[in-house]
Amino acid sequence: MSFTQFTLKNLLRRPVRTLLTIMGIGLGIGAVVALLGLAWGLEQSWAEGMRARKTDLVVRKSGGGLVAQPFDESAVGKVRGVAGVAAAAGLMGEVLSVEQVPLMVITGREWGTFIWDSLEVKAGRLPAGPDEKAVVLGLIAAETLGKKPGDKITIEVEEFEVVGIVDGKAVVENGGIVMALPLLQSLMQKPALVTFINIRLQPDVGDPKAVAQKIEQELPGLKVEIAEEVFANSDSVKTFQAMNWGTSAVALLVGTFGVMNTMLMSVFERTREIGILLAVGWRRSRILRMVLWESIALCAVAGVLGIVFGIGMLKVLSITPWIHGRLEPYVGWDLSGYAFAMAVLVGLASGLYPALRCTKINPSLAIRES
Amino acid sequence: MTMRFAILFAVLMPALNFAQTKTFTARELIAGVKAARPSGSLYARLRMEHGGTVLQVQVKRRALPEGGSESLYQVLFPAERKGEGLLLKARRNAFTGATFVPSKGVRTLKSGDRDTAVFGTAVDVEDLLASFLNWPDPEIVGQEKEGNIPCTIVELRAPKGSASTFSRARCWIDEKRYATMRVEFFGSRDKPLKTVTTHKVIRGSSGFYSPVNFTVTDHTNGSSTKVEGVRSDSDVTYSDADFSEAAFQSVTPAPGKGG
Repeated sequence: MSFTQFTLKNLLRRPVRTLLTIMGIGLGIGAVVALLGLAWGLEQSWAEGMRARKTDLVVRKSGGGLVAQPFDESAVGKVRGVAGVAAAAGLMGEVLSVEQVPLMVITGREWGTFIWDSLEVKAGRLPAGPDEKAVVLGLIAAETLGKKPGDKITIEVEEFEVVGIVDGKAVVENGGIVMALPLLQSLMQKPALVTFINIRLQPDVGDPKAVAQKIEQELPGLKVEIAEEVFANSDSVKTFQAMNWGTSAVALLVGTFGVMNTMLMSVFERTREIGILLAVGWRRSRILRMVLWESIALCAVAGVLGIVFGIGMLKVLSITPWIHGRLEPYVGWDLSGYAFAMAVLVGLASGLYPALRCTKINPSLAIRES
Repeated sequence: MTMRFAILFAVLMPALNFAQTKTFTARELIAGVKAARPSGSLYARLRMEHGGTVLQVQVKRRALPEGGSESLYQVLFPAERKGEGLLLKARRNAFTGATFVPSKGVRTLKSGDRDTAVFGTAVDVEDLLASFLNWPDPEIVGQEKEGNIPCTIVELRAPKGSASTFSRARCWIDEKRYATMRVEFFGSRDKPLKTVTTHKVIRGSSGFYSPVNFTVTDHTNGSSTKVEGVRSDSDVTYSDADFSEAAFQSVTPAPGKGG
């Protein structure tokens, strides 16, 4: 029997205990996968939306919250005059309850700008102009609302015609309603206001941050960020991520103590056996490695199960009304690898103390007392 | 010696903690809840879900110079019900009002119509008036957690001659935020006739906390209505025209904010 086989056989001596420990740590790993999958999915959805719109920089009001504050749309003209800026477009974003749907993102986009270009018409057409009382729906929004081109849709006090269904190439785009900026400004009683300016830079701009700084100097009170980083930089997202990390840390800590308890019990039960192994010539370092390998193997199996469980939870969450159409939970090899590595680390951490206890066993006392 | 000191400290700590916590009286709690209610002009959008039907509703409200408030509730969705309205003018425990249905016209509400359902939901005029907060002699009857939130339970009894449909109300009040996390309304028996359960409270621009998501359950017929706040704007500027008969019978957007 090899060292590895010997180690693994020890785990199967008490199969129920081993299974329960695996389930415990597996649940913790599953929770980590689900939480991180949601958080990374949220960031990725935003970044995809920015890439789809071919937006390099985003201007918004300083404050850092996820809910953007409106500012004067005259800032758009000023941004266009800054060196390095190829194009700028004003947007207003609102989250409203529309017909039977509890929450839906509605964007008002400046007519004739590049942020309409990313919308691929799948049915119907785009609005004919900024004054047409018409909207287009993202693919997922159309499905959620049950609308097709030609239907009417009530948004706040007004009724609009759905003229088209579009593919915005990103979940965050496809889950929303798009209309011309003046329509949304009028609807929300926020004339001449925008909540974002999307900027496309000249191709030869080497340092986007330098252009961002120039814009901030031109427009005090406004913040300019790299488009894909806007979401991750917001205070609300940072708080959400901190909560995720905190919850994950607690789950893993609980799992660590659970595994440590199991390993300690296992070691105590095998005191005589370990004494015999030491008596027949096993080095203490080998005993230490044996216990550590047992702990790591236990947690590795738990990690795999936890990853499967976590991915399952993400799939279920992705079809719930709170998530569907708003973000695509992230399920990637790097997330699985990260979760597996955490499981192995838990195995190492939880097996260390029992392993060290083993090395202090006196062989003759262990054999005599047992 | 150290052990004895540690035990003494552990015993005394809760007592010291208790001594530092302010204890509110029932009147103070009710006064806090009333102060936290929006008092100026307001525009709000609500989503009401009742028996599988979703209503999108707008609310316009203004404070009246002589005291009290005037409120206009109007259905925006579904399209076949757009324009249904409820107009209420309330001052302390008295009110005047009317309902409007496009196909049926205007119906004036009488003082005994407090149990008139708002747009056919479990919410009625009595709930909108919240007159129970003006009932005299509130009394603390217990402490209990509502969800995870420690609350003080305050009981209020309707005064003699009250026009209210209820005789007694119990409020679970979160002392930290002066928010009513649950309110139960009783008739002559001990079983509640209606319960309002708050699911979410947010802090407004005024600094006060307001329930924005709550469920109203009518135990007499087993129906319940979920009310979700979509958005609100305070300090909007209304004119008399916004609460006129013409405005009541047509749906107009929110006015601009005060200058």
